[in-house]
Amino acid sequence: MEKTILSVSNINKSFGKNKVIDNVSFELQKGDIYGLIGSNGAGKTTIMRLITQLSPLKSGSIKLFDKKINQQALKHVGAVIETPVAFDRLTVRQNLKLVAIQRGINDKKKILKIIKFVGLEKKLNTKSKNLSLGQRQRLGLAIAILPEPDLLILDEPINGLDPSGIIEFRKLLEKLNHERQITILISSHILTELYHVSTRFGFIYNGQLIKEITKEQLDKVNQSGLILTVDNVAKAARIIDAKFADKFTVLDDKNILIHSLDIDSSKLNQVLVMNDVSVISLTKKEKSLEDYYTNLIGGVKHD
Amino acid sequence: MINQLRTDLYRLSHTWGILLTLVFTIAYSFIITSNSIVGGIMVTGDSMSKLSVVSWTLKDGINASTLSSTLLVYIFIGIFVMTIGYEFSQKTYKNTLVSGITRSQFIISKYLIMLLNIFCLILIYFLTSIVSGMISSRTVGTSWQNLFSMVFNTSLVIAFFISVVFGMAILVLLLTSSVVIGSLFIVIFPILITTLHNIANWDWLKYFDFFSAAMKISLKLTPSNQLWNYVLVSLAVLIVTMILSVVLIKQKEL
Repeated sequence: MEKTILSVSNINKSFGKNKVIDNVSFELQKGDIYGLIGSNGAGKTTIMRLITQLSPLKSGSIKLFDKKINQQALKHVGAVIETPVAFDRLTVRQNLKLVAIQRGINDKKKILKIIKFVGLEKKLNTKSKNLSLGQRQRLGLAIAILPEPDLLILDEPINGLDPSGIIEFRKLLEKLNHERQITILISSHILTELYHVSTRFGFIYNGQLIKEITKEQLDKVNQSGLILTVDNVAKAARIIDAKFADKFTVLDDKNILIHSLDIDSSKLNQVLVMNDVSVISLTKKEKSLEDYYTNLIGGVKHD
Repeated sequence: MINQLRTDLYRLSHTWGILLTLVFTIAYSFIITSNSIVGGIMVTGDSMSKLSVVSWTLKDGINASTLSSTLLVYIFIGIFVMTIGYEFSQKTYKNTLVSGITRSQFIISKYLIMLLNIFCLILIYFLTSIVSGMISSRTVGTSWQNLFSMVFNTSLVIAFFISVVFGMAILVLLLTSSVVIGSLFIVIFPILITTLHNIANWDWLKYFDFFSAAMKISLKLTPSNQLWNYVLVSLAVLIVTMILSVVLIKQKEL
């Protein structure tokens, strides 16, 4: 049975007359890695700030483990909101020691384990202010996971990381999710990366959650396309319409998109050729998360 | 909240600023007592007359240090900056407030840490005065028991009155989101109150002149019928300030 870790119901937030969160609801089940996707100012960070109570919630409700969220419940949450923060003049070890005292953690070895886990063992005695952005992200993550939270909230955690840093960070998150069963709510502008780590996605546009989709569903939607390039589009369209039941779209005077990967491509080729339509190419179209997002936002804008 | 107090103590003990504050406090006390001089921003003729003796005893040294203690507040601004200012300037409150601590516990723990630090530093300030006097081969001027009792009580009184202003500075910091303005408030407040008191001749303002109040109470210059007025006004200001700070931080976009 799925266990709901976080339940966000009908939350709203306004700054003056500007409504930045409009009736947003979603749930996170145990083990989810929920990718929150949206442009700048869409409301991703505000949602995270509302969950962590850094922004006061006036309307709607947020429940953690089926109980209304409060400061006590936040003990089970680790968060890096906007930018990773640590005391500049303290070293990596001292910053983590500080969190350990704050959270009542007495296991001294745990600090070293976490430092090793995030790959900062060589920076143990380096002051936080002297760390690179990537290293600060790691320290932020270490601070967030030291108390072994059930829910980890990461706001743009891969900002400023180099490509190898991004890959390592992804592995870290997967490790946390698989080995420690931590549920993760993550936002990022780098959609390819978010696609790799997330198991579910929520699309935010103008403060509204316009779509929720699992990775499986997304894959299904994105892979359902065959691009057919022919010399006679009109004739080909008539043949497909008559002999194949699949939905299709005429893209231009040479290309047709068939919205299914289940169609027998060799039979399609054979039938078209037999009807004097030259098939120039037949290619599988796999759309990315970016394409999906662009289409989704495009659709909403037109509505 | 105990964990938060321990956290702040750990952090402060690993900060150079607190060591510098300690060094300045000791140096200031040593200079006053060794050279038999009195400093301070609100030293009055009345209080000075008590020290117009040829050779000081250890007790005179403590009195002189009490008169000069008004300047300590400027040395202690660092405590305000390090205890709560850093949390806001470096935005580490995000980590602190997600640790399970309530907003009221956050504000109260910050105040208590400042009070504790100020009290300890003032105690050291007076103990330095005693040591400096002993180095100068001065007599005690009273019994040792009285002297230490005087040091403890005076430290408590001064620390409390200074902490009231620091508590108000927390509110200013939350209102303005500026550590600089919060710190400036600590500098300006006593001067502003004294100046207003002198210009406007509003007698009731003396109850808000917390630094002078601390000094007057410690040196027993306050009429006994006014003593509780000073204490009650200070307590009321502190409680109102704390409540407002908690309300404000609960409503604030952090």
